[in-house]
Amino acid sequence: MSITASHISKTFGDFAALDKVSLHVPAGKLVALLGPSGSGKTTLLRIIAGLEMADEGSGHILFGNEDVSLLPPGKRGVGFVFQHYALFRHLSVAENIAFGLRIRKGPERPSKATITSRVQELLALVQLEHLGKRYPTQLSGGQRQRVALARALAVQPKVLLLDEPFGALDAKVRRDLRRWLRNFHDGIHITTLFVTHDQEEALEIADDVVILNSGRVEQVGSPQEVYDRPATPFVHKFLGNVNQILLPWEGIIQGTKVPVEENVAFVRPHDIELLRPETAQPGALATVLDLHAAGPIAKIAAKRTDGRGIIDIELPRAYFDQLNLREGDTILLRARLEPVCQTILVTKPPMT
Amino acid sequence: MFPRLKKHTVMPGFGMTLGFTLFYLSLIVLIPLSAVFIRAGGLSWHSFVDVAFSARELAAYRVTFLASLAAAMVNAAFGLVLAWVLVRYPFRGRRVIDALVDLPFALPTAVAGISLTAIYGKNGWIGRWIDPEGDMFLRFLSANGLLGDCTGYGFAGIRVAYTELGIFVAMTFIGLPFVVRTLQPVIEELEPEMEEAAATLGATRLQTLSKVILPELMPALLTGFALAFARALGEYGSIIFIAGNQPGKTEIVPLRILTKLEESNASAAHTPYAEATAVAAIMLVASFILLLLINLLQKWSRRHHAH
Repeated sequence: MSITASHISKTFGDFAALDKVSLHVPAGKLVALLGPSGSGKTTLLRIIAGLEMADEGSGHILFGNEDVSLLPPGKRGVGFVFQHYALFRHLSVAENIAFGLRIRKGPERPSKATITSRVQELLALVQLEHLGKRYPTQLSGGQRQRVALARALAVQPKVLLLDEPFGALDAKVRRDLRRWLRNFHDGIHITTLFVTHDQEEALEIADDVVILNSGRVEQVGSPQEVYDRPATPFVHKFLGNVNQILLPWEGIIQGTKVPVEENVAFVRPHDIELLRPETAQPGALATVLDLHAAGPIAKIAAKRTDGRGIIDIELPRAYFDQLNLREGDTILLRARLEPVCQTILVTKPPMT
Repeated sequence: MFPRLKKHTVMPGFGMTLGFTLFYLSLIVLIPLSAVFIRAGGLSWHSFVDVAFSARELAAYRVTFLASLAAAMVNAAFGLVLAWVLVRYPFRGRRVIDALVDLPFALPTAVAGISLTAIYGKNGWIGRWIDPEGDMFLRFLSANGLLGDCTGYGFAGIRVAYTELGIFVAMTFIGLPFVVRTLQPVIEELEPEMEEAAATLGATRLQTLSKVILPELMPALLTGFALAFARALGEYGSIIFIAGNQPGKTEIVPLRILTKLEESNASAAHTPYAEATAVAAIMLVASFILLLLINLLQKWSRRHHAH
């Protein structure tokens, strides 16, 4: 079931956390809500879940065609997963998962046998079959988060909302778990919106990315779109590394399309071409400050000869070795003529 | 081969500190406690039973334990509410109220006793409105034609000072901080997300309270209850003012121990001191058993919280 938020505003005192934000999550998709801290992403998620109320008269939340703006969280049919799991410590893993079913009243409440088999099913789904009798404190962080997910899914929600689901985990578990979530989503296809401040996470697993900044949507698109064609300077700076080059700079030669804001041009390090000055082609001269060639991508920092800043360059290792550069060498730089995706498979740096 | 080395610890002197601990505990706790049993043991079994279980003593045990139990229960309930409000809601004057909670700790018990008596006595601020002989009570009821005997409504008034109720009021007063102070840190640690999780799963407020919050707070609540209960059992200073100390009715056990000491029973074959320790021994054993029970209960309710 799709999620539609239209013109949602939320103010805390004088601070506008959300300013007429609209958002659409198509049915069955996995969408990331990405933004720096304080951008309002968690607030938006909590408003969609009903844990927070939007400002009076400021728009609607729809699940499918149903307006749920006025329903309490328990009636909206959302599964919500918290950053710090929020598991019930006094209940076992199985009891945690069964919680949402056990508290139902009257005819809505499934029989004990149904609940038990449903819990087993969910435990198998999150690959924790043998841990049903454990208590949350006896589990690792990754396991706890999967229990939280199973608990949220037990009530068969229409949509799944995850608030920084991997935020409290260490790097390795985090990478494993987000790949697991991607596969998991491919298996069950529940409409999912997850909040993250980690661009790598969002770009890696989401079908679509919604980038939020200061309570406004900056851009919506597939991971490749938002990375390759950032709509605003903010997205440029926020996603991946980017050189902010003070203009004028001779490295931007005629015919190059480069995003410019005021007198700053945005060029990604792998979209800078590096040539030997002997080639005598148009471009800007610079001096190599620092070379860093561990791994498949070589990173070079070069100082502009006009002294107006430092430019980062990333090159494939093979080409770098060919150039045989040393610190202090003079090089010729220019923005790549077509600074988009043709060469991306070769030169795309690991995003950090 | 490495030579055998002692593991290096930052703070030295385990042997010495353990020795000190044992010595100190013996001196302060164990020796006085054992003295109670040794002195009480000076009585023959027959006279021990006679002394410790006379009708007057039994009445004292009864009123002490029941009033302590009632006071601890009331404190558990209202202490929970108070602690919740103090932790969860920021409001003007919160810190003042927070500080006031400690007052029963700090106040000399005699001060507490005398002010409670003054307030609840038939001429006190509260007493005059509720005591059967209170002037406001009488005036108000007779003005409305509601006075017990003539109307059949039976508004007889409530006497607090010099009754069992007074004992209960004093015990509640002195036991309050224990529950609040044990619960506060636990409530602070309780993530509001847990309540939100319950809400998204469809729980009503009542279900969230009974199935999520109370179970989480139960171990701390029991600890607070036990502390308030133990404190009430041992309270002396404030109660003797308000209890009236009527033999067989509003005498508490600590008072019995004191009066036993002061009574010079010339006809008896044993010293007053032995009689007093007999009562004390009963009190001690009963308290031990109760604390043991509460500890077991706590262990049971805490079983899932172990890391």
